[in-house]
Amino acid sequence: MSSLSPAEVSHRLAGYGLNLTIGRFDIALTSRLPHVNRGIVHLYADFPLSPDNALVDFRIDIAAPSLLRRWFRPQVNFNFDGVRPFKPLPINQAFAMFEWGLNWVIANHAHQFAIVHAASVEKNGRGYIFPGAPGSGKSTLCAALVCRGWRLLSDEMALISLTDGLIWPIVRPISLKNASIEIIRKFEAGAVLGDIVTDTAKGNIAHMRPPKASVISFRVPVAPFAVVFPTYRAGAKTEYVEISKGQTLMRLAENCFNYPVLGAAGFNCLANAVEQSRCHTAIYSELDDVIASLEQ
Amino acid sequence: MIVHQSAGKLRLIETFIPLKNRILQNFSLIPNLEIVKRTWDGECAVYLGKSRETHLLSAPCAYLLGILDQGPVPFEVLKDRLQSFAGDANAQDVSDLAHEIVSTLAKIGVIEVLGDAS
Repeated sequence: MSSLSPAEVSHRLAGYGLNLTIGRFDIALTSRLPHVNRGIVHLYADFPLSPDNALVDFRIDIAAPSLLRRWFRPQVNFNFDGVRPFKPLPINQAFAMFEWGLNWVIANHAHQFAIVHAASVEKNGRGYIFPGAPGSGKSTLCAALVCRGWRLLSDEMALISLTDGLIWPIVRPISLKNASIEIIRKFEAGAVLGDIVTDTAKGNIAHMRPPKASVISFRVPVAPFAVVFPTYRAGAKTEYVEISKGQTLMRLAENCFNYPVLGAAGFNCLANAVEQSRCHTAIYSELDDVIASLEQ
Repeated sequence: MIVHQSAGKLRLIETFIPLKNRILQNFSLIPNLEIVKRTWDGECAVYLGKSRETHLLSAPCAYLLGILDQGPVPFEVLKDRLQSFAGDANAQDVSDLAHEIVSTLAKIGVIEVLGDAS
């Protein structure tokens, strides 16, 4: 990507498409919208492109729905292989819609993995899974960890292979919401953030560019080492509580997007991940404290 | 005491087993459930392939499930085995727990009543 000028990126997006590689998946993206162009140039700068004639896993087009909607309360549509799975959104959410839609596409099609709604990172060859509901602080913690040198595997979904049990990276920009945007700005002045998009269904959001080192090693999987359920609580001291493997498995299953599809293979995959992991809940308010605890 | 937790699709059909007759009944695992189990520290996670449900069973519940896995068992025997498992626990508490476990296992569709043991 970095070898292309913004104009060249724009030309490709508007033409036959930009073939982005994000770990195990190749995506052909087309769009004529400047919001998407800007987001791609800014946040995917370190990503490799697959050859123009390569087979791709997913074809995505982000486009204005009609001529009228290009001018009157402009909107944007997410098209996947010719299908529009979502209602249109305001055009200022075009790049965010690409990211959200891509999450949906992967969660609904990559059934070679158990896909857990979780951030996942790696340190010293150990894979950490942070499942959590929206607002639990998992993305903030994930962003802070990668700012301190941990390897980003994924911000939104942990892909645990049904065949080898490893967590496979799907490195993409980290989605920060509301107060997290400012928290990460203050935490790491060097963090590269995209545009802040206001008034989305999730509040204000901004995406953080993943570290180049994480992008370079996005084909390297890692074995699960710990499952930690984080909860941000203002003013709280960092506290870890061990939870049983059985409870951890149940909570992973509840957070697994495609668990109903996978059957016994999904159960065994998650159970194997739990078996080899330390299992904890973590309440925190200070990022430095919780990172120091995780690094011990 | 939490006997079990469920994940995935919940069963809405309860198996009715009249309490007063329970001591006369033989219980058995329902055939072809396609059960997959993992046990850690006594707790047992159970995946039922037939219903595609996942349950987490407490240690006593998992213990009785293991006994039922070997063949049909009268309630009185289940209760006695649970008493052995529970050590010096109060007999009435153990009996109540046995009733609760049997109800739970029936409710999640794992066991059925074969008929009177008499």
